[in-house]
Amino acid sequence: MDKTTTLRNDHQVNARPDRQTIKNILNFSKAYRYEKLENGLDFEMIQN
Amino acid sequence: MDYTAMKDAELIKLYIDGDEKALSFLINKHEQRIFSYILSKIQNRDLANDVFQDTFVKIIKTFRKGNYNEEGKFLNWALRIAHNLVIDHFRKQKRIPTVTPNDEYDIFKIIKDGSENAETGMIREQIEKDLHKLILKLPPEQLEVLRLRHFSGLSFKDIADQTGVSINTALGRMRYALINLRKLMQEHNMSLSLS
Repeated sequence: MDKTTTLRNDHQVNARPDRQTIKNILNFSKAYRYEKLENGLDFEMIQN
Repeated sequence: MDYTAMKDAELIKLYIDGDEKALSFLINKHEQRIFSYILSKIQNRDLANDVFQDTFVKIIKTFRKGNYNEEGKFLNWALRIAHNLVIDHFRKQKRIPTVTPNDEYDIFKIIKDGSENAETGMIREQIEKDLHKLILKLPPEQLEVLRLRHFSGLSFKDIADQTGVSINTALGRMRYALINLRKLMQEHNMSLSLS
């Protein structure tokens, strides 16, 4: 928990996720592929 | 391009059109609210990071599949996804016992005080919401009997009088309402169990 985190009404405020978590999300976004074919089938994949 | 001045809908449109930087700004704009919410419920920073990540994986998939249509309400929608994932987390946690009690020492007997904790309360709230949605899918006459019996507390005689049918018909409708509700629950993979 970062130093600015405080407790207010049992809720942590000012808490932010780890930078690694943000990196993971952005990497997922770049690698994620979704295609919908004309025959109605769709598929998703993670491209490295 | 000045991303910082953009509204959520504009960032989302840019992202869907292939601008990865727009996603980064969207996350940065809302990460504090979403993560704080998750952390306040889960009270564990590592797990909260996992749930936060899963929340955005769902968000990204929804954007890419063209299923997003909550214009102007991104944060509320994202918080709903986070809330559902928090519920899933607690459900999974309850299915995986981390301490095995024995005859001499049962930690669960010691900590169980009969009151509903925050996690159980959240799961119960979610179950009630899910159940309410399913009940609305019942045929009107079954829905009416179920409502009068369980929510208004009427006897089957009173239900029969109020709806203008015989007691047997009211009972039959109740029976079919429960059968149909069970089927709907199975179709939606729903469980009413808190444990």
